[in-house]
Amino acid sequence: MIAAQRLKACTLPFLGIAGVIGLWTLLSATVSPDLPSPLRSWEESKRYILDPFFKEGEMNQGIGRLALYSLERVAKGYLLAIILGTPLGFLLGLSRGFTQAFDPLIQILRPISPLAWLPLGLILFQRSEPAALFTIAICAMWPTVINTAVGVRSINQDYVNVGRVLRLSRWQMLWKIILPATVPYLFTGYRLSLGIAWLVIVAAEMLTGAAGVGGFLWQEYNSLVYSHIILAIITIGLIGYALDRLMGLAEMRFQRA
Amino acid sequence: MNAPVSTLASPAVTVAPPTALLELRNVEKTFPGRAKPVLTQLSVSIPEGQFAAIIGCSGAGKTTLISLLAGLITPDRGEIFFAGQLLNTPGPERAVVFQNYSLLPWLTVLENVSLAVTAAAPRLSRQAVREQAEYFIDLVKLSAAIKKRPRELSAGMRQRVGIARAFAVEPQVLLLDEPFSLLDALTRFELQEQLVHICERTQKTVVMVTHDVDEALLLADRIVLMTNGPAATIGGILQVPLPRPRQHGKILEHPAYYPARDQLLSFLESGVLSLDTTRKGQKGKEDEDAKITTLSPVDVYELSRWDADAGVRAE
Repeated sequence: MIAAQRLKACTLPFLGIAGVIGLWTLLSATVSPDLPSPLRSWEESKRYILDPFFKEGEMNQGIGRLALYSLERVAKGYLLAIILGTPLGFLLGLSRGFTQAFDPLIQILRPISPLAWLPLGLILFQRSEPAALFTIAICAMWPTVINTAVGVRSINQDYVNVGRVLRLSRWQMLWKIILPATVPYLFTGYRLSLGIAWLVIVAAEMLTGAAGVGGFLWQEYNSLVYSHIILAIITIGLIGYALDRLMGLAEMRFQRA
Repeated sequence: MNAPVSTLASPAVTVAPPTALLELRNVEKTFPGRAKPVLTQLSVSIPEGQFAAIIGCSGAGKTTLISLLAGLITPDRGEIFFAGQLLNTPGPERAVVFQNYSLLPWLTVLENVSLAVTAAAPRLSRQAVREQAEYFIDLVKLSAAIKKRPRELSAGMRQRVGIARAFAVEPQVLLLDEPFSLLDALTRFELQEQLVHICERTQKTVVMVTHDVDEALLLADRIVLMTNGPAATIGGILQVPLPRPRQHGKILEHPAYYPARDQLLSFLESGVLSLDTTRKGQKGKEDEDAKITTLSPVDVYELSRWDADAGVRAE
């Protein structure tokens, strides 16, 4: 029984992937002649994959190198997001007045698309790189803000009582009780924020034309090399998955029994 | 050996202002959204060095009472005095052992206890903090688990850390909120025995809330009975007529044990002791060694003042 289940768990994902590739082949052969078939996509992309770090000009680079550019940009924007988002979340969680003042604003800012923020960033900073970082940060910070605030608000009253009985100062209370008790929520926020930061990077690079996976995707669309779009999409998906798993591991470490 | 403490001759004896360390006067507490108060007209005083057990059915507001004494909540009416001062904030001079241990899960045993030591004595050197923490961890026989985190410990071990943490701040009063109610019988036995030993050695003032009659008899000098909630108040007080040092097996053999136990149980079983029927003079069955005196709250107040002054603790 268990062996059979294991076998299923191993083979079914491959079957799923095979099914999608089959559908893809079918589509390219019938209704969408512009869509390159899987085989053609591979033929046209294999150089980018097999030699991932070659560089022939700004946009013609191996996929690994492009991904590194994007990752670097995401890292900067994401860092900015959590540096801004964490204290904001704590303020929201700790202060009722602050919540009343800013919660409506946050609820309005939260659903705004990166595509809407980017032009504002360009106006604010004049250059595309800081505008991209601004967009990533402002889109990615909300899960951190909200999870931190929820974590602070749902802190076990027993821990607070321990601090009160020991008559800890406000500062000690924050550092020794509230902050550590919020860590699991914090990391959930960080994981979700990273996911969004990675989503935003593609949009930001497409609009600013910066070298990276997103910029590559848009450039290849304009140069009609459609198979490279698929390469970029798959790369984005795989990296996003890897990032989520990595953060998931970090999160697990901080989850308590 | 100590002679059994004689019970109250007459509650009418009133003397000069109390020297009690903790004193509640006509305390009332209502939680928001509730029609009836949890506690009402509650007066009791606990003299220094006494181990007082507060016993009552669940829902009698026992935990509320401990929270009031700890200063975690404030009464709506009446006053609570601690060492002659009006009490309104929590503080390490009144350490609490919580029912659900309330250890900080991200800290090790040593860190949990050290945090308390540092909080109570901020000027202590690192080395001294560590030594003191280790001393109290050793007191509850947990030295082997000093580096472990709470989730790696059994329930009994966790509560031992809770006890070590409470003692480590060297409090003037120890407040125990049903400290053993979540433990299995065997562990409970062991911890009760440890606690009785530590308390007899340190002569600490202790207030313990419990619903376990045997636990109260083993540990307490005096047992305060609470009527059923809501609007619970004090229904009577029993001096525990058992000599110290006490041990589980030994106290059962004492002739006063079962009469006292029966009275406590019958009080708990009979449920509400409404104030009208518990006027002075309608006392429970009189016994040579133990008796429950059921009185109106005012009388109980006088009564507790009386034994505060007489120093009824078994010397």
